[in-house]
Amino acid sequence: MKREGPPLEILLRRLAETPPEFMQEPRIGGRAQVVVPALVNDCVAYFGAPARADTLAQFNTDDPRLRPKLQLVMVLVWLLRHPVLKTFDLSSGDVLSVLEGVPAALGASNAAIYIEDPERREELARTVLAQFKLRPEGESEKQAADRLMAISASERKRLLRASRDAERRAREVREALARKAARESADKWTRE
Amino acid sequence: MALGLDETPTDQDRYPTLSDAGRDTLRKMREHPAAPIFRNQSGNRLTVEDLQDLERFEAQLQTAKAVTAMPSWMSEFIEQTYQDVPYYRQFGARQNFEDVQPISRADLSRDVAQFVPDSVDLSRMMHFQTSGTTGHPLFVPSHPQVAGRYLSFHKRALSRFGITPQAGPGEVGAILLGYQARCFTYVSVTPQMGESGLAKINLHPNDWKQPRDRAAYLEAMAAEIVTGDPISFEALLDVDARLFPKALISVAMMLPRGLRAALEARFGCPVLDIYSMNEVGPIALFDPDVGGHVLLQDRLYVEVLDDDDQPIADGERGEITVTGGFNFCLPLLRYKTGDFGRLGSANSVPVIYELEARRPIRFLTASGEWINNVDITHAMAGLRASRYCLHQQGDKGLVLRLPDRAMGEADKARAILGGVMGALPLSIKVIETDDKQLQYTSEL
Repeated sequence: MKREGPPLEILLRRLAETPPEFMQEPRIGGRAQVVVPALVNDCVAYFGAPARADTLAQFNTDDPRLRPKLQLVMVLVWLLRHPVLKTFDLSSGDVLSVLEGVPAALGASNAAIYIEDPERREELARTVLAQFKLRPEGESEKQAADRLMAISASERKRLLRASRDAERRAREVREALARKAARESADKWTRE
Repeated sequence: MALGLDETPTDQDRYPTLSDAGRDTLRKMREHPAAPIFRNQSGNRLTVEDLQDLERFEAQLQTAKAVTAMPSWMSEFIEQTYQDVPYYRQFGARQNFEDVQPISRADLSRDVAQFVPDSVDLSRMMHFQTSGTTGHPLFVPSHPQVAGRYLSFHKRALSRFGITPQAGPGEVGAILLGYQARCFTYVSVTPQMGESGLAKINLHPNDWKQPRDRAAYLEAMAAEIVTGDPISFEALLDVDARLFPKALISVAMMLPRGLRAALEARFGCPVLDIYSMNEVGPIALFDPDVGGHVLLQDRLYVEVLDDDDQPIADGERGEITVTGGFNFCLPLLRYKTGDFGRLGSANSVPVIYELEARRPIRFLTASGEWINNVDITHAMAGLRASRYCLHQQGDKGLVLRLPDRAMGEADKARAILGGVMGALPLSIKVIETDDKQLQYTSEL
């Protein structure tokens, strides 16, 4: 984060004002309208050269579990198209790295919280700047790094807790189904 | 309080509200001189609170109608499912119904725990095991109340034929028939019906001291309703018993028209053909007057999808896909049943026409025309056989398999198939296993 970037507030406002079009359903397995590879290509081309077809293929999927990732990519496209970022000499490759790397780094399951929750908005904006090796205008390198670490640590902890809770619950369900009493079952007049 | 992993339930767990009269009924069914070997134990598991809930459920169902258009409860159901069910939570915020990716039995089989809502209390969880024909065995999570709710739908189905089950204390309300080399058998009582008896028995001679005990036992129990599947009902026709049930209920497999007619003639009562599956419960009831299966559930939305999982218009044939249901341990969102049919309505009641288990298979006739298996089903409907399997070989030759006891129908089947398929080589063999099998297969 050696270079000074844009004021953080500009990016936060941009996120808060994400238009509903960028929160529509991404197309997965031929379902829904928003073709994310096309959005990504437009965005990357805006910073120089268009993306290669094999690079764009990762944004085209049949797996519904990738929905949160694609939704976050759509939000990122909206954020990255802010004209202020164009003034920082970012390459198409830099932008593609953000679109590939940020959703994976955040690992969240709901893109909407990066618009609706002020703390998550800040985490997203700071993560994007850090990926570009930029720091928010008016902050020292150390201040920017400390703040990003603090804000993402709390979220990581929450995600980890939720993931552990989910694993424990799934184990309990499997154990409940395996009980002898569960096998014995209960009366129905018909057995399919 | 939950039982431990290997803890065996007691009679108190199996019949929490059992009275002395109920105990006598259990004894009568278990200890009759002609009684079969009961190999297992099970019970209703219903507590006083469960029974109150079931009473409310049934009262509400009496005025409810099966849904046709997109129901008003759908939005809330999706919201709740996306919040409460781990599998859906991973997709983030709720989706509109049409954007929800359909799931199939393979998804449930992979890890059914992901489909059980977090809000479900696991202490009384149980399961029904289902094998199916898709190669995806499945434990369907369930609960005593969910099993208890079946009765309300059976009563609803019976009422369409003007029948109200009335068995009470000391009587046997239902006998469930199986016909398998190994079968889960037990006795129980139904507290919602005055603790009338319920016996699940296996007609296979393995389970009886002597084969003629089957008739003696069935006559002595004089069950008001007899339930089973086409295989066990076909076996029942061979049992020389004088029985006067109010109705027979057939589930699990399509009931051929010829077998239905034979059962109606023999027992002089309606034969209900209910389309039912473990994952969903009773879905629809065949009504001869409308020529299709009328939907039974008010909290189940049924749609038909094409090969690309897109909804298709009423009247077009596709895969039956369901949303909702009454099993709160397994809320289903666009669950593809693996069965096929057309949606329509008769007298404002939603109907599935031409219901067929499994994906359509095409057969090549002698004249080179492709026909759908539905045409074969239509033609073979009059056959008096519980089931049949038709396979077309790479050289167009046909192999028809019939149950051993239906081999007497072989000439009739040969004539029917000749009429539909033309002059193709046809060999007729015996079905050698009791397992469910794919009805139609082809190498072409």
